[in-house]
Amino acid sequence: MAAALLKLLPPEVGDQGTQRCRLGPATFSSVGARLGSPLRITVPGGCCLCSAWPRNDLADGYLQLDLKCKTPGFSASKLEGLTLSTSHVKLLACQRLRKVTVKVVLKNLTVKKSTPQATLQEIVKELLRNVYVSLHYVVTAVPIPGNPVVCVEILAIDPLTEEAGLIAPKTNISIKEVVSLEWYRHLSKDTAKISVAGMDDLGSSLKEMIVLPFHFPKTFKKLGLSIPRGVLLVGPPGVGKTLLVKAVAREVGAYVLCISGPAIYGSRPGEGEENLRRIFEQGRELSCEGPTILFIDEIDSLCPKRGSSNNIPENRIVAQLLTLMDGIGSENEMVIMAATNRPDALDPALRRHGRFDREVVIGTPTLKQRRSILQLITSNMPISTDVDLINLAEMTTGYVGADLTALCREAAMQAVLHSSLDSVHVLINMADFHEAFKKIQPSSFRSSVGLTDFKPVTWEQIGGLDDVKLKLKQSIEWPLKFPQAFVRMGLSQPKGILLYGPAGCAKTTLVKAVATSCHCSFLCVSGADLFSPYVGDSEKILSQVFRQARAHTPAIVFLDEIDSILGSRSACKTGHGVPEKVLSVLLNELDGVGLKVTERRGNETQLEGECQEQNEKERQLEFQEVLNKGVMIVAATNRPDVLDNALLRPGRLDKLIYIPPPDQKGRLSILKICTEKIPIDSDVSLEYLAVQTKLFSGADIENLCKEAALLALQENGLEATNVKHEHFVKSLKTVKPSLTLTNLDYYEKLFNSQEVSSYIRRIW
Amino acid sequence: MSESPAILVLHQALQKSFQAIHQQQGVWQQALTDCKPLLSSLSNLAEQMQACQKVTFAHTPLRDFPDLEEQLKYKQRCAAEGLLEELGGKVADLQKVRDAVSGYVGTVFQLYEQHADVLGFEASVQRTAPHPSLADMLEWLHDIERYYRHEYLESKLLLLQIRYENLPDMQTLPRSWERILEHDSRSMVPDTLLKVSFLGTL
Repeated sequence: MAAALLKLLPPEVGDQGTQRCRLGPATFSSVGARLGSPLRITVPGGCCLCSAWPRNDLADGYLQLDLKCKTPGFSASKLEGLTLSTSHVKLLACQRLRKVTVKVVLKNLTVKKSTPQATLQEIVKELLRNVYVSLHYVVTAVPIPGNPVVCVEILAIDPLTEEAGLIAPKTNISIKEVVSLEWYRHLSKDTAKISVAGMDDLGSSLKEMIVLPFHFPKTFKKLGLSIPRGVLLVGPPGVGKTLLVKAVAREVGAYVLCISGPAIYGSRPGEGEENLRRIFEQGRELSCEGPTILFIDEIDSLCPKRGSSNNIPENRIVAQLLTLMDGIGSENEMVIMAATNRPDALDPALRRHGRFDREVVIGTPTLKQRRSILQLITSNMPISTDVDLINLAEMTTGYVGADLTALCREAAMQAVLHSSLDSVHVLINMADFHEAFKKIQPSSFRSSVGLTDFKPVTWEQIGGLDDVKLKLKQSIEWPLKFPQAFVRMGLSQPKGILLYGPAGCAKTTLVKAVATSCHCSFLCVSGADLFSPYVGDSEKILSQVFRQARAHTPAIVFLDEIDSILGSRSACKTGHGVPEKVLSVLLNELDGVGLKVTERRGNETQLEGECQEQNEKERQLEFQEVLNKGVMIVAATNRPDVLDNALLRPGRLDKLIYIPPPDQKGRLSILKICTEKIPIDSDVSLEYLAVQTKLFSGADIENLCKEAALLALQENGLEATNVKHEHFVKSLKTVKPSLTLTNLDYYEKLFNSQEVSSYIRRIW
Repeated sequence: MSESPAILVLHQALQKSFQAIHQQQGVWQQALTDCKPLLSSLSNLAEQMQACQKVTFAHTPLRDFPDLEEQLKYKQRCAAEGLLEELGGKVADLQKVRDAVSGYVGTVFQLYEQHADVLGFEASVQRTAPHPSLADMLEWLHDIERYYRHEYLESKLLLLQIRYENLPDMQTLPRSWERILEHDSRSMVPDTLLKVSFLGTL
């Protein structure tokens, strides 16, 4: 008898709103109830309070419930076809309540406004009379025509009891809150927190803005402050603008009303404006009840510049939005938030105080932000101990939040693919992340101009030029890798480096090696990318390249054959050609007054201020973050004389590195590298060849080796297995050096430096 | 049929309360029917008020009478207030009935609570051919009390919704009242009283 099964049936029509539950006599006695005594029935998904009554036909094994008083979120649909046991039914002791505090939910806002407090009190008292209640239960009101009350939530009872409390006629009922049904539904929705990482300060300031006026309206009124009501979030796609708004709204319990462009525009003229007005009206109504956020995503599509678009309907919508934003009375708390990634496309009238008071720039995440984002994403992923998030954050320059999420997802996919067994214990290790890293590219790079795919080159693959390599490492790699030393010595990062020297002497290859050796974004710009038939387009592209590079710092921008891209203002008389304009853009980008506001990144924490509590690792990260803000230019040319003087001054291309033709030792190492894949006979003396190839550039030497190999094929037929010394000697006769003495002299005269002449002397 | 003293006590109490309810039902019905003419006059008044609002007195021969419009409106308002006051009185009657019934029901339940342990569950659900069980009768009492409370609340809410600003709604008052009177459950109380008429013969 301990757990007899009870089949749940739908309640009888006559029992609706009576709080009765019908039991069979056997259940009645096993529970020990009397007529009308309170019972708590627990079903999966909630509980309800009922008064016990016998079934009219006195049949056992059935249970009928009237859900007048139940836990919030418990609906009748969950009861269908359920079978319970008697252990789910519990008899409660009953206690008459002295006082209850309730929250009343009304049908809608208009009813809320029109119903006076006294009437409401009377209605609620009438509704709750002789009802068993418990703390935090919801009493559903009977559907009487003209009854404004939908349900009543019990917030507090006195005396506080776990058992059932009966509301007697003498019970004092106090109404603490009155809300509309819509708001109540919003509040009782699933309130799982959305977490965002790396934007704590932004989030808290937004939260403050939404919550403060709502909690302290009197203070604001007294101070005569108009409440800031508009926030414009600016940032590249994928940094989490929308997510931030959602997270903040969820945290403060604000109602988010979304406006999207396509939903606003209608087919009829004037429909768009009407829709806008309706949504604002809705927001205004909702804001009477609690903090409300009106969120306009992709506002640039809704509010383009009025002057430039000769599109009258759009202009009207912009005008309507402007007037609506002005028209919000300060007595309500609606906050308007908008997000865009093209702030320049917005109508300027929108971006003034009183409309969008605050503009929050969310840039591409910096190193620290990336680390915290990765920490957040991986916090509920099974990660093996070898995963170094800091290292990962260093690798992922230019990745935004969305990219990092994609990266982690891809890594997880890799881990799943690797583990052949369908096991629950899949661990994601660093190798998976590396694999994913190859596949996931930062999204902002997808439309980039200068993004290049190149074969990685190591320093060892370049023969000779040891001191040039050292210099390059000093000026590019060191600041990236050892920022503390640079700060200690009071050094700043060089802005730009010019590599010059005769053609074919591995300038481009050196840059490739630089890009391979340090993990940083690498943008390569050539004349073909820049020049276009449209006026002003070249300049725009170049500045876009720099903008992208700044978003992905640390970054290297490589301008190959810079002499062809830029002209010299002094040499050219007119000074109005495209090259001159491009030059002026470049000069500005290198050493301009400052950055655009929209390109701000990270939070401006002081380097000294916060260092005390941080540990060594944190501090190192901070150093790197501060130092790696710059974009480095590497330019290569073989005609440095035509470059503009302004470009060559310190602060712009402040380091000029001469890439000399290889000397004898260098030639030997180049020969060694070039003949690595060519099967050479033992009689070949590379030393002899190195002596013989005076004035040969690296490219010439490579050509020489190829010629010799071809010659061997020619002479010995296709079955040739090795290249003999005579082949080299023969091809030496045909292959002529591309460098000339006058050529080298010219470089010597150019900067008249000790270096160059010493190189020339060494070659001879 | 041997009956325990507890059952007898309860039966007596039930008999008393049902008798009282019988009387109260008469009062209740009376009050409801009394409201009907009042409401129809109110709706007529509303119609007049609306007509008065529509017409522009300056365009009619009545323009020679100064302040006619204001005076007319004042009179109408006074009449309406008087009617509302009377209606308020009727609603108060309804409330009295409701409270009285609640009182009777409460007493019976208290009595049941006192005797419940002696009585036992079996006895309270026992039915015989002429007698319904104690549980049934208590349930009926509950239903009756609930009926009065709902009806009272509904009529009260209807009267609370009367606004001078909303004259068209005011004109439909008699129809709304009819709806209350012709509720499905309106025959509930007389039916129940018929069912328990055996008590008089005990």
